Amino acid sequence: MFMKNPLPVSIIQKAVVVFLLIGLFSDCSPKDDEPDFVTFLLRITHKASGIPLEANKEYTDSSGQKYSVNRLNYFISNVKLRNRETGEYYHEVNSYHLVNALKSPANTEIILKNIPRKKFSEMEISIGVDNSANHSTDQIGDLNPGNGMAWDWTTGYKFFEFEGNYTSGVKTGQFLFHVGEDVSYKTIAFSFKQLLSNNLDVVKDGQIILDADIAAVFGQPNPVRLDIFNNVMSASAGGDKIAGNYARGFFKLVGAQ
Amino acid sequence: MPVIMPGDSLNWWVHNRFFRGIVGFLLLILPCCNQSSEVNSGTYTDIPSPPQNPISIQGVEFGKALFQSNLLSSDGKSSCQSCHHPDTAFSGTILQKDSDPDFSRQIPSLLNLAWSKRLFWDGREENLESLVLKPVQNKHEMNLNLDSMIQSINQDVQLKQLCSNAFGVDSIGTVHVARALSQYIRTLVKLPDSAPSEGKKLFNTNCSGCHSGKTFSDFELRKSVLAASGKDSGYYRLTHKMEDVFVFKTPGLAGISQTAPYMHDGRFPDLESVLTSYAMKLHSEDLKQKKNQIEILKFLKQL
Repeated sequence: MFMKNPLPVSIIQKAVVVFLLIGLFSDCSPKDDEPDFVTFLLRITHKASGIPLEANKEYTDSSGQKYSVNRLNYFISNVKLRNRETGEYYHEVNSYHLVNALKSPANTEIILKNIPRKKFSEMEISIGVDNSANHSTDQIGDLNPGNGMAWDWTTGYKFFEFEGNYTSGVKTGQFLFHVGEDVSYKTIAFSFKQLLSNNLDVVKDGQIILDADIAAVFGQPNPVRLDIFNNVMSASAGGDKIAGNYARGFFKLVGAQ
Repeated sequence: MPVIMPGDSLNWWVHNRFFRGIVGFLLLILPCCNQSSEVNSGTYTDIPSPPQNPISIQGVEFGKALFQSNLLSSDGKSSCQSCHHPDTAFSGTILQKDSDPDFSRQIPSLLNLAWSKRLFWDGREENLESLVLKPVQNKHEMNLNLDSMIQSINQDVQLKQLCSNAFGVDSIGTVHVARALSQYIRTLVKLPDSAPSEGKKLFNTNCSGCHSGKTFSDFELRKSVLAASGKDSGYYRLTHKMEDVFVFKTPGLAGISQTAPYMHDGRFPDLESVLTSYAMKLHSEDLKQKKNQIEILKFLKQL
């Protein structure tokens, strides 16, 4: 009386049985109980000419220059994971990280949250602050100008602060490399396939380890003789050479699991 | 007919639409009567501001308190206002050493900076939020590091309350200081509207190519015909390009009669000297005539 053409009870009963059967025979592997996203730690181990980096300890580079380091701060930004074959992609949101290699306590670990459980063939990071954030210091977090990385002579950030002392031949002195400006923003890609002979299979929380050897800043493609080139305060005054060097050989992927 | 009892009177005043309208109107216009150089429209909708830092009444109030606070200097004796004084169109009457100790610059007026594309005489800063913390840290100016500044102002109950009103936070951060100061400075507006005159006509013919629009400047960087020589190379210091040697920002002219000395290096003590020098460099017969200079001066003093 109240419903026109009500569904016959037998049809409803059959539908319920079908749904129950689908539930029984569907994939009930443990993965369904795990979160869709995991957290990775990006750990950076700083070295100097192959030896663990310590403040004010003397090292020798491949050209025979002796040097010590008393300041090493830089930005890592826009951390990405991608799979070249499938196109799957992870880009950390608001990805700006200030690394303080020699401060106490050192700040050399980056927490990467919400990574999808996928397979990735490579990681990409950038040294510096991208154009979208580098033209205003009205920022919070690691870009807070109170962190000491804002230029005092223009708008924007120092991407890479590297200071210390050197002995080159008979000459000794201090070196100071402060590099910034858009042209010094450098992006570096690391292949998981080269390291692992396979993709990085992200199934649970894990870590990625980079070695960062500061001697690379004196190396290729722009060899630095500290007795004649030891003071940089911008890109246009030679900072581009330093940026070219940190883009080439500073980081090396040494672990991922 | 309703009878207003004594106990109901406050309720009546509050709920009477006509009375509320009058009070609202008075609240909007009264602040303007006290401060000729500051616009306090209540909404600030006519002043450009970046999307992440819209101007609010509470933000401006906090910014003004910071602007006047000695807590932003290392010796606790000076504030932003010590150099950028309202009586001189928020400019300074002395020369100030900048980031380079080898030369000094005139302390520029802060009027109408909301419309300025680049900031400082050499145009080295791109926005107010990035600029305002630099004089605080500059050793030749307020000489205070940002950690000390934050520590100091967070001990000031009034500033913390104002920050809370403006940004809804319990603790003042660097970003709040930068944004509040920027909001306040953007409200330092003076857009002169002068009657037609011989001086205005002469100005439009000879000067408005650069000093144009409602702010009397396009705020572009250029090499003035009065370009300096010496150690201060202007925008070149930023770009290291030869074409930028002695390039400086074109200043606005609002309140110009109050902002002596003139030019980036303060080389002219008065407007008469400025006009005479321009007349010679531009080879302008108009400007060389004394009677025309007098007319232009009369016009400039109205701005």
